[in-house]
Amino acid sequence: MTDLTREPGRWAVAASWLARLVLAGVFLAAAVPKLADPLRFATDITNFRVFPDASLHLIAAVVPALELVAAVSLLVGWRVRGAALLLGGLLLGFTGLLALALARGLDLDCGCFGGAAQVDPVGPLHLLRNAGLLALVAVLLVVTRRAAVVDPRR
Amino acid sequence: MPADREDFSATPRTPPRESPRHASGCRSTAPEQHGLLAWDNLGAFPVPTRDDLRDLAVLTALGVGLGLVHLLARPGLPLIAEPPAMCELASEPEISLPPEDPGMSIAEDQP
Repeated sequence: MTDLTREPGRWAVAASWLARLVLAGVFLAAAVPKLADPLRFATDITNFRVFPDASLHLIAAVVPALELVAAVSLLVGWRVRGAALLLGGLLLGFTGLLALALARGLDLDCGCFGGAAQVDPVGPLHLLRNAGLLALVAVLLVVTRRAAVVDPRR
Repeated sequence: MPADREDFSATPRTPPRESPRHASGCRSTAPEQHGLLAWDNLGAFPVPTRDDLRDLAVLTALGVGLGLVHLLARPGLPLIAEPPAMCELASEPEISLPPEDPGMSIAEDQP
C-alpha cells in the first residue's frame, strides 16, 4: 500500500530543489554582470530617480553582492531559509521600484541583469516575472519550514 | 489469519509526540525539530523564526561586506558618488539640432 504520509515529502523535495535552482540561476545571472560593471548599474538606478546621488555607488555595489551571496547560498544549501528571505526582500524592493517607475510613466531601462541584457524597457512583464519569483520564494519558505515554528497545541 | 502476521487493527493510535521543551520553556533544537520537511503543520503560515532571522542577518552582513570590498577594490568607483558625475548621468537628453547643409559649408570654404 502506498504510504500517503510520505507522498508530500517527495513533492516537497522536488519543489524545494526546483525553486532553489531557478532562483539561484536567475540571481546569479543578474548579479555577475552588475558586479562586473557597477558603474553601468549605478547609471541604471540613477534613472529611477529615487535614491540620493551620494548613495548610488554604494547601492550599485551592495545589491549585486547580496544577490550573489543569496544565490550561492541557495545553490549549496547553506542557510536556505535566510537566503529565501533575503531574495524575497530584494524582490519586493525591485517590484516596488518598477511599479513606481511605471506609475510615474518613466521610460527607462530596467537594468535587472546589468549590462548582459539588451536595452530592456520597464513594463508590466517585469512585474509578472517578479511575482513568479516571489511565488517561488514562498514555495521555498513553505516546504523548508521548521517544525518548531508552529505548534497548534501551543 | 496467519500466525506470522500481527493484527494492528486493535492497536491504539499513539498520540502525537509533544516536542520537548527545555527548562527555560524554549523548544528543543534537536535536528528532528528543525527538519527541512515538516508537513504536519502545513496549513499554517510560515512565520520566520529567530533562526531564520539570524540566517538572514548573517547573509546580509556577508553581502554588504562583499559589496564594500568590491567597491573599495575598484579605484575608479568612489564610495560616495560625486555630484557632477551624477548630474551628468541624470541630465535630460539634449535636443538634437538639425544637421547643417553640407553644401553650404563646402561653398563657404571655397575661395
